Amino acid sequence: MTTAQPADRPLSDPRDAVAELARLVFGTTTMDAMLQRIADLAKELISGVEDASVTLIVNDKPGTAACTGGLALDLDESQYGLGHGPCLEAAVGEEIREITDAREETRWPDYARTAVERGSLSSLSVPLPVREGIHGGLNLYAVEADGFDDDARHMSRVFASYAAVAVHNMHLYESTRDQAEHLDTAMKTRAVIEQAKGILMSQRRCDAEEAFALLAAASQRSNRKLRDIARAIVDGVTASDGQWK
Amino acid sequence: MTQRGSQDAESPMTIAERFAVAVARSASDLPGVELLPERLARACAEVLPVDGAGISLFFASDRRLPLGASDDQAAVTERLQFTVGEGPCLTAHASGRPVVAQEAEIGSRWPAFYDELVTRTAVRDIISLPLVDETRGFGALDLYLVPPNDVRAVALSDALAVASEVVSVFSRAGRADRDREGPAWLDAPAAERRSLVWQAMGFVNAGLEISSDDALALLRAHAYSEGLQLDDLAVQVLSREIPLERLGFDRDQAS
Repeated sequence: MTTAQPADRPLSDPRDAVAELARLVFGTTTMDAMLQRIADLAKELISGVEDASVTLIVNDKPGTAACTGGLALDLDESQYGLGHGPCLEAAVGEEIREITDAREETRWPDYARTAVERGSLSSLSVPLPVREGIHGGLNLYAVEADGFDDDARHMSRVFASYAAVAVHNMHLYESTRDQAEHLDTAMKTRAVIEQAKGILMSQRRCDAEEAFALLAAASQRSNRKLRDIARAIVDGVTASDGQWK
Repeated sequence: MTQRGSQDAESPMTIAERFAVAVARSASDLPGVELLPERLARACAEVLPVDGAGISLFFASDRRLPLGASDDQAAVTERLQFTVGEGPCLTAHASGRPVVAQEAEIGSRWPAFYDELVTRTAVRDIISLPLVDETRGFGALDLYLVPPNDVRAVALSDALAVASEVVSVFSRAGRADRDREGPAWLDAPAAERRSLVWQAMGFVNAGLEISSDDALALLRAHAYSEGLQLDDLAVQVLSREIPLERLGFDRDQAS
């Protein structure tokens, strides 16, 4: 770590990390990629971090959405398995939970034993409030006891608050996009069913109701969705070779 | 609570607030969920100094679905644009920008639409605003003006504020309907009527053995040359009032 290139300069300010997060452009990235970036940046930014991870609790089921390595994943999962531990308490209780020395930890003795065995004597779990209904937490694991000083604690709290905003915006974006796709699909589906009805009306010389009944019956018989049957009929008739029945 | 009246007098409601009030008030006249777009269109026409408003969505590149209009004339104007396949609304959607068009401009930019517009409606100026959420443009809000009103009376900032309210009402309503096959307001009467055009497309696909694009183009051309609205022609084709041979004849002549 002598006079490093600017690109190699270690992140020292949460604002640098936030700028990094801001560089992730909605529409070209995913929530998973963003959470991974948050874990990576946390490890880079906060001194003492051996491994970092992001826990999300959706419908009361905790899971590790991103991690920088196996240590974090193992320790997260052992807490999920036990049903308690600092990372769960931080995510649900929205308060920081710290283990300064796992060998002397009394709040979660069984989890602390695992942490010692796996080689992490201290950890910091910071809440990452995503939105109503989804609890999140940023977990930082250190090898040594007392791995985090006041600076690190402060940095992790500031970084987590910025990260939460980025995650929240990403979530809004994704839910708007899902809704948009849902609407688009609904309009296309309706149109293709109507078009297929028109094809059947022409071919079978029937009315719209009878055409729909034909589609519904075909869907029942073949155990395929009505919209897929309709799509196949439209594709069949409009194929360029003019093969149609 | 008692201070409210005096407070209102000092700070009048914003256009967005007036819009919300107008939408809420119309709920008793048009209670059905599928009538939400019509309520929104009426509220637009009520709070902005315009003579009519229409809301439509776009899908599959060139398909357009009218959802609601404030009145018959607004509904007719939308159908004319759809029939001729050009107009300020389509341009607003394609460009993603508001289009503010006075009569002379409509005449020069969209001549076919203009002919129909002046023949069949009293509308002369049109403002068309893209409906855009965080991810994409999905529709347009059209505002129609009848002389002596013209576009100069409409503050674009007000119109844009109303368009953004329309977007947020739709997105709230869309979230509520997540698990259905599309939001309830896709069953709007105007949309149901447009669905007959998709049906007629299929009818022409099969009857004349042509592609979907050609079928739509043929229906459009016939409607235009006969002075019919595409939605009305669709009904006549499907009821076999207009034999397919006659549409086919148009096609042969055109080529």
